[in-house]
Amino acid sequence: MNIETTSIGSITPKSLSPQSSPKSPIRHRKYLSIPSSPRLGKLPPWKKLLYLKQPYPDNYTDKSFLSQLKRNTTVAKYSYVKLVEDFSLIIFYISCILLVILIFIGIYVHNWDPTWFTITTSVITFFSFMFLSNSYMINMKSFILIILMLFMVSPILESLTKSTSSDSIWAISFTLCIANAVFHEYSMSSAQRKIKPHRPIISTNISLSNAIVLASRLSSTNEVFQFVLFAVQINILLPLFDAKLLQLNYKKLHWTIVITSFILVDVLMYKLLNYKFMVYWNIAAMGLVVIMPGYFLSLQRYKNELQGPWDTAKPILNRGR
Amino acid sequence: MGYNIAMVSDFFYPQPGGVEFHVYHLSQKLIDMGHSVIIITHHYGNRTGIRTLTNGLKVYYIPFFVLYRSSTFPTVFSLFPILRNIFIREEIDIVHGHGTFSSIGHEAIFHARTMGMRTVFTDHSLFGFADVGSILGNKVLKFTLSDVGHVICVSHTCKENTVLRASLDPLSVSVIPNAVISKDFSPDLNKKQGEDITIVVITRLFPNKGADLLTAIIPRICMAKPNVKFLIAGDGPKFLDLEQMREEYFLQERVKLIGAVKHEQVRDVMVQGDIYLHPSLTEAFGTVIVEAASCGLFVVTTKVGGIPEVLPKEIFRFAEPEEDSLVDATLNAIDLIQSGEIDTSTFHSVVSKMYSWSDIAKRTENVYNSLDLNVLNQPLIERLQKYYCCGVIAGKLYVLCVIVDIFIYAVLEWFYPREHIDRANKWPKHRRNSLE
Repeated sequence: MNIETTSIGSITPKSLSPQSSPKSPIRHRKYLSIPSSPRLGKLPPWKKLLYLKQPYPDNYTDKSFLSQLKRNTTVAKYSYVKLVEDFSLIIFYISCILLVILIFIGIYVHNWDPTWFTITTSVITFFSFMFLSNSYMINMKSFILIILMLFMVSPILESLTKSTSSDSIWAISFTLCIANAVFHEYSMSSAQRKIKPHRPIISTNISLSNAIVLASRLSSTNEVFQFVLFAVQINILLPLFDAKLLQLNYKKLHWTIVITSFILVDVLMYKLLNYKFMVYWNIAAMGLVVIMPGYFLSLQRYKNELQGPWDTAKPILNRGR
Repeated sequence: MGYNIAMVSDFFYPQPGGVEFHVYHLSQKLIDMGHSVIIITHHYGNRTGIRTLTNGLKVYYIPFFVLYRSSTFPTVFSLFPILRNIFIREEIDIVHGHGTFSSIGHEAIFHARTMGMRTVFTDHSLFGFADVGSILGNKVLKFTLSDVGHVICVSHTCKENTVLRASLDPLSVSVIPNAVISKDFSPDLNKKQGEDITIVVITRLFPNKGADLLTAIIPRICMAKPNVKFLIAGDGPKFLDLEQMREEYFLQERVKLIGAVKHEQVRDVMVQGDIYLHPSLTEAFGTVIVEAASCGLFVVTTKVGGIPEVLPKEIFRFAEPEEDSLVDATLNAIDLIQSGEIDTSTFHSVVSKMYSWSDIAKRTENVYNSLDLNVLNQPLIERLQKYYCCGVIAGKLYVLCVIVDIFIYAVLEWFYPREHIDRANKWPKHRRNSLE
């Protein structure tokens, strides 16, 4: 076995063992000679010790070489269904982003009145968080505070980007949306979530920035206020609510929300834009949910983790004693 | 006729450390055996130019940008002119690089191969395969070792690790350990045997040296054995944790933190104790435990890396890198010392027979003798083949680097011809008749 031409991926402990190397036709190097050493064969067994003077050359490779090598011991097994569930979270989050953009198009281009759907979503948000939380008084307080704050600053937001051209705003918003989808914390396992609370800080900030940037294009203070409120509810609170549902294992409600938001995006796209966009979006979404998990699974066979005594040990401490 | 050897490493005096002492002591012994050795390293502050150490060991401190913890910035070609100049000036036969993190060592081996010289690389450390730093380091190592003459590792575990990391033929890797100068680590014969037992710890207080384990076990041991004291030397980011632990459990009287000590003082610290505790989480060889045993201390250590190969069972106790296991092993060791079941006075002579630098130098010379230029200097196409097989993208990049290096070599030969470079006078040699 010629090691130099094999990649690390194909090295197995067996192929490195010395039995195969001396017999192989391509052998570059011989054992270093030791003048006093008798012929190999009648020697005491080799020991993996440095303090003994053993009658073996320094580059002697015993058959126990790499016997402590372990491979792929920490690799997790994935199931296709579980992966589809996980990947659908991405579609759900992108749907949330798209919903906000589509509603913005409705208000900006088609002069929709944002009042009725902002009120609807506010009421739904209010009740759903009351349903989930034990200390809803705190939630109530922050809910009212945020609304008042938004109300106060909406005149400022309205005139925020007066001097900027619309094209720049679309470009900024597009960049923010891409960044939002990329940096959102799609934390996977519910077990992990119990230890670490779900706090997607980066994506929350990006969502808010995006809402403010878009809202600054709108014409009246009222519209600005209602749109930002709507965007916060759809883009920040709804994913948080969904994460909470997953944590409590309300699978049916979770799927209802995911599918509703997906269909809503489809309907709005069809009404506001063009049926072509709807088709593209559906194809992309199906590709992401159906094909990507399969691709991810097919990549698993390239896993080649090598573990052995050279790894830094993980100390086990009894904390809290 | 001895060889002209160039040891190349980023790590050398005035900086202390395992690699530094290895390079220095190995060079001294090789000089004793009749070879001529020079050391090439980067500058340390105002220590630049050429210095000569004991026995005419010449050190070139070459000016170069230092990136992080005295590792130089990894450039591929920039050192070629000065290295070529030194190699020709000193008529070097063998280039010997040290240390995975030493980019100057890698570069020297690479250029030496372009110049058709014999090369050896010594690996002193262990690496995993999982984190980004290791992956990059392993790629660099693979590049350098694709065409190296021979590789030396300091322990069998280190050999397994290096063979995997660089995809080497195991037969081209030798295991030659570190050594200690046993007369510098002799036990204190005048020590009074008191009631108290002192546990010594000398380590840089970093997470990978097991500082967290140390912080966790000290209060438990102090509670279990009222006559135990700790003496901890070393500094690092975890020093504060130790101080806090000491305040929290009111152990100021019993846990002494003396901060970093110089290598010359290590022996004086060690001989104050009865047990040496080594909580490290990774170790290629662990010179410090050999030093401790040589000073007549009973060693308690975690069973990680190459440590199980280093000393016989009579001299030390193993523990898993777990809090409970380490506490049990330490308490066990304290009992053994108290009951007098273990005679630590023989440790010094036992250890001094196991490890000596002259033995290491002989074995290293054996490696040098095995390098055959007719085998090493294959046609260019075969050399490129070796590099090309290193990876899908990396392989092509490596081949490109090799070709560029050959061009640079040709240009250098044209602009600074060999004949115009002065040859340095060698230090006058008088070969010793017998080596101790």
